[in-house]
Amino acid sequence: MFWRMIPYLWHSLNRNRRRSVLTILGVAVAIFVFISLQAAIFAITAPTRETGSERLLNVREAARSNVMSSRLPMGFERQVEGIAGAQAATGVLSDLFVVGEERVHIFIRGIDPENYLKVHSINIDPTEWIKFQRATNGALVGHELLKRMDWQVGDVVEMPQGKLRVQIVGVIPAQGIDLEDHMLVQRKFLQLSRNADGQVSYIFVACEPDRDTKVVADTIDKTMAQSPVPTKTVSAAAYAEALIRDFMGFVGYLKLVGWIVMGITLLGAANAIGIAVRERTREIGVLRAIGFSPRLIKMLIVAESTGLSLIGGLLGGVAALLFFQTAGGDMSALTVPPVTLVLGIVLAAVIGSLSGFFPASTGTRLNIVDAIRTID
Amino acid sequence: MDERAIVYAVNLVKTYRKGQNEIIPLNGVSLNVSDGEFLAIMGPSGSGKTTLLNVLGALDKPDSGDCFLGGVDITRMKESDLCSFRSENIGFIFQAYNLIPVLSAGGNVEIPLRLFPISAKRRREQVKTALDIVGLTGYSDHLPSQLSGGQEQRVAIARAIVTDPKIILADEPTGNLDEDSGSEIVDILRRLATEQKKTIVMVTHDATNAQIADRVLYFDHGVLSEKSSVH
Repeated sequence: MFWRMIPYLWHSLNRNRRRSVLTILGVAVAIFVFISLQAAIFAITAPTRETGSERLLNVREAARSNVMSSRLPMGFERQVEGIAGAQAATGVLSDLFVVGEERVHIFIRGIDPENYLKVHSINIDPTEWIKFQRATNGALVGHELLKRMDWQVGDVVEMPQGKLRVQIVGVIPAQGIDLEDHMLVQRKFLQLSRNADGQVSYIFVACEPDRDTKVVADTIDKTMAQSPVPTKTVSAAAYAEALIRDFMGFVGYLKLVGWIVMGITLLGAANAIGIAVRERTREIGVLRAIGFSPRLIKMLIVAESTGLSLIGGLLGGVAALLFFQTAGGDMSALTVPPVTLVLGIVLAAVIGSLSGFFPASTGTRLNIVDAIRTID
Repeated sequence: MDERAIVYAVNLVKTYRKGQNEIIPLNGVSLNVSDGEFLAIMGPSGSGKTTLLNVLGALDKPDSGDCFLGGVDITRMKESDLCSFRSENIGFIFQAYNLIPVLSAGGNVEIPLRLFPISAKRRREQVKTALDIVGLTGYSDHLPSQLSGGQEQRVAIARAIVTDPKIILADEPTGNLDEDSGSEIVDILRRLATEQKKTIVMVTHDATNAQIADRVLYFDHGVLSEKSSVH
């Protein structure tokens, strides 16, 4: 029976076009803000989602908390690998360049191709990996970075002031880790280019599966405590969190602001929907008089309010998607996680349903005679 | 109970409280309405006419008494059953027309039919027939805002008859109309009664309108009394 009422539903949506449009826009803005903030939070917390980070340890110079300034002798690799519980170890030299007018940050990891994959499993095209191993100045670029910089495979790219010149030989595809935003080069090549011969910024250590990573980390640090460069070892996830620790409070604030903004905007939309229903008290009475059940009337009103909110939610979601796809510079690092898009649209639908349900329940509970007597 | 009666009501009582005052619009009202009869109920404003109509139309329940419509005791029915009962058996014509403003004349007439599983083609045919009966052929696409008061009330009548109900209840159908438009409405109701054999109960305070009915009852202080029919 509900489907036979679609024309009535359609005409009701067009009843007060200005109010409907404003309601839709209000919901669209709320969802756009929500999704945008979630995208920002997702990007900020990306390093904490490094694949396998719970079994991956990061060994750096204890005296320096900043990975860019941390320096360990390359020889520490074998020492650390020999420690009980460590399955494999590989040193990584980190670097950072700021490029272009939009000041895009390019994070570079100098890795040892022979050993890196033993420690850190990443999904790379085998052919491109072989090219990378063979080309001294070869670079594998994360797909996000490639897109942002408008680079192609085969391009020769030069960092500012000629400090590094590499040829792109492959792409790091999407795999949910922050490498999608990085560039991998051969460690030897980066060491030479940056006058860091024999040095690494940190050592990645893969722990044996049945080992307590905290115990392994403590053992590494105890062992290296008497070395020329004492170490500080944490899990890769904990390290990433430490890196963004200053942001985590900000992330919490962003989340709170996101929910407040969305809540206030959606309340406004809910109020508009509630007013629209209350204005139809007499009409509800007439429909009941001619045989519409309270349940059917409630379904129609909830469908109307849900429809309006859903349209707004979809608009807001599409707007957020387009915005982040077309934004340039560092904004292009932001993406809309699919689950956030779906969550935003579902939230819009839920708020729309609730907005219509409560006034509809009140309206249909009214005595028919009193409802018909209501002055519009 | 008169088995020929479409409506059979016995000792209907309804009271309201307004602050300290108790108002008794129905004070032991009984009446029969025969199948195909056109009954007018007259009385001054506030006498209880509309309350009686609301009870007969299952829009309100009496505090005591029984009311049978088409042999069914509507005073004992659950609200959920009353909805479908009203849609199948009762057509309402309100003083204020009460059309849905966002639907066209055709849409308003069609809306009761959408409660039934009938084809769109058949719905369109029934709507056209109803609009033809009330003299609004060609007005199907007009919105209520584009119609005069008399035309709106005709659409309301078409909506009331489109489901072929057992009884039509008209509450002051000419109350918001001028004399000429009111006469047209009353003529349509008369034709429905004589040509379509519809059972009509019309509440009015206008004696001229009441004259066209088969029988007139007079309402005063919650009590209904017989008045001789005037033709």
